[in-house]
Amino acid sequence: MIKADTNTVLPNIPLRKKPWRLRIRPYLILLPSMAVLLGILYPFITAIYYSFTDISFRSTTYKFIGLGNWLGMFTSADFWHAILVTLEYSLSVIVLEMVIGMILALLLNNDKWYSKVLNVVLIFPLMVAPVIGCLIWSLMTNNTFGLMEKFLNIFGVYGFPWGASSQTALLYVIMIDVWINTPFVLLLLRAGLQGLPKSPFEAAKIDGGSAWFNFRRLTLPLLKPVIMIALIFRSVAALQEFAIIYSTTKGGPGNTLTNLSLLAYQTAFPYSNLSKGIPMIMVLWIIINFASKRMVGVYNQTRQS
Amino acid sequence: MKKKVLSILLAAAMAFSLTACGNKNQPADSTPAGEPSSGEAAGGETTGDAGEFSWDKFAGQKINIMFVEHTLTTDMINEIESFEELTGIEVNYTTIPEANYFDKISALLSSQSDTLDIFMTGPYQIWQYASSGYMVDFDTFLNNPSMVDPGYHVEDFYEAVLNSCRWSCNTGEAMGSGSLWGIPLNFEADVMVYNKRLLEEKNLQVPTTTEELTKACEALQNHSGNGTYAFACRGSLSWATLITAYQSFYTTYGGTDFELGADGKMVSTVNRPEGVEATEWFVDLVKKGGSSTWASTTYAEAVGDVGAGTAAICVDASGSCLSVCLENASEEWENLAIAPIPVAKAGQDPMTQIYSWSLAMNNASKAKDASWYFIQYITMPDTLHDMFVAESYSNPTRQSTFESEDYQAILAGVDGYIEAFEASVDNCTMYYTPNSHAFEVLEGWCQTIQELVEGKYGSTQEGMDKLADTLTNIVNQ
Repeated sequence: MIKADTNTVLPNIPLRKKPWRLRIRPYLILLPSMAVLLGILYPFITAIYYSFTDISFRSTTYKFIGLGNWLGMFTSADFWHAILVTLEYSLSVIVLEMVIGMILALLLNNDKWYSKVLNVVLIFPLMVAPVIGCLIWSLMTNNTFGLMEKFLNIFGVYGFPWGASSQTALLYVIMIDVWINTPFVLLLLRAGLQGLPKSPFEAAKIDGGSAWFNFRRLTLPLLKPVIMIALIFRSVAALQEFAIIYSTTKGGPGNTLTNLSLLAYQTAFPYSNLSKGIPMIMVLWIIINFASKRMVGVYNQTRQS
Repeated sequence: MKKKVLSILLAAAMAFSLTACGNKNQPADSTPAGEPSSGEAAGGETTGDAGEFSWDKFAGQKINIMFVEHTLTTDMINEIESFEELTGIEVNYTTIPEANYFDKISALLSSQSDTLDIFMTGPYQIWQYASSGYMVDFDTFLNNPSMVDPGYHVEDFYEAVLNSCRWSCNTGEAMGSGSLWGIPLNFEADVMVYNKRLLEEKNLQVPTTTEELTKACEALQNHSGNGTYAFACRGSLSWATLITAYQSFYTTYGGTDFELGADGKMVSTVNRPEGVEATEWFVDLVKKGGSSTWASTTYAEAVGDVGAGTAAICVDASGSCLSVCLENASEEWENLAIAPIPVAKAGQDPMTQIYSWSLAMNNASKAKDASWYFIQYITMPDTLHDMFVAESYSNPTRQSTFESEDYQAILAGVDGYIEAFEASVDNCTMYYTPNSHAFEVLEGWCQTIQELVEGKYGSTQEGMDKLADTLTNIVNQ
């Protein structure tokens, strides 16, 4: 019988160091992503520095000017108007897209033939680049030959101003944004609905629960994580929207649709005031950062509950 | 072992994938940095090389061109092969949409990059780039016989057009004197295109004054029922809106934009009585006779509406007006005619704003002489003549092209074009005061016009007073 020998002393064999090629491997694998990170951080940090200078495309030299650009921005009426437009636009499109997306997802969450067809057809706007989508809409709303114009003529409406009036311009771009981006929300929510467990709904059916009860007490709470994901993606995109507004009205008429993205671009590039445009983008970054962090926090809570 | 090889290959592939993908025609480097080409001093300066002119003097050099997407660009690209055969100079080029073009050019010029030798530009861009020292003065080449083909004939260019590329870079000084910063390819003056049939139906004469234009538009509004209107012009939020119809009318009323104050700083004069009167008249015209979508109308939509018969009259750049008058170019082409733009007082000469597309050179270029050869080649009398005749372009920059038989034959088919051109070519000039904040000034001005049309202000004077303050602050920042 073999007994354990408690007095045995194990020989002191030094561990062999891994060859350097093995030790360096994890860093090599990380190297490309670190390079990408540097590629993102370098212009970001440089931009922060430039916001404290007077750098401009009008000169090859620049100097440090402290907080001049930041103070100028915060005391500018155009900046605060742009903040208002940004919030107005993003809240409007987010609410509309979430509501319409949810309704469509619920309506198409079945195996009927029309659901199968519509699920494919409704995704088409998402495949179109926003600029092309805006071009399509500007052709459709053209007062001479546009499809929308001919449609409105049936009801006796001629020469609808669309993006040419401050009364209707916001409605116009919101409509285009909803047309392009609701399919994204629809895709996410429908996938979420498909993944919901069936047993609570079967139990509710047995207990005689109404459709509204099912939606409010079962569907919504179970779908919360997916709703939050859709909300986070759309919020981040809507707050920094540029393509749709620039392609349609360039922020006009007047400054009706000039949001923060557009104002920053106009200031930095066409007006060549690079150092004055950077603080505006920084403020936008802070807003998006704050909003997305809060939403991710809510998302984590919904997952835990 | 396999895993080791695979992981290294994967890491290498990810590292290479970070390399930006370039355009097929991504400009290659021009002559090596610090190595002067023949005829150039170190740093790319021209040397005033003595001797006779010869097209192959700079053979072996490379130049990089950034074109804007424009009808002329296609023609210039078509000439590259024959230029390379003639000179032995290699040409690399990139084409960029106009919407982003000057963003790219500004970044390259301000970083003093030598990857750009030649670019396209207009007068407003010259104000910014030349005053920043980014451009080359073409007089250094034109005054050197060894660098100019004897058949070039710079005097063949219309003086007004050449002057739209000439500026002293002195604050407040008008264009037309000083260095020559670009060689013009084409130019635009403003004309009026109108539908003869619609005017005849309403027993209207072709308006020659702004008062007549207003009366004509009142009669022509809804001329063919709902959705049709009298007067089309640009209105979208853009500097381009301010350099066509509005500016030509503004000037005819005696309106000015800036003057030099006693302290040498520019002060805006848009709120003077002449400017206010001009603006009030224009806003009234748009409200009474314009489209309900005026504030989003581009030049394409404005002339398109006249071509389709939706609008009766349009004032815009001559090129776009001509484009709908050519045979089968539009539904109403047979009924369309061109006339000089109406003036504020009878008997006045039309005072139309000029815009020109020209070829310019980067001051940081290390292949200036070779670049000049390309610009010279493209703007030779024969080359420009062939381009304009082949494509029926409007407004040639050379008199020889305009006066040639084949070009006159093209224009003869467009009612009134030759007369309108001859009436405006000597008086078309840059009426805006050069300043390096031109785009901010013009877009701010356009914004105010849009707000006035919307009725945002209690009066035109109020709007223009606010605009004057804004513009004064912009140019003095």
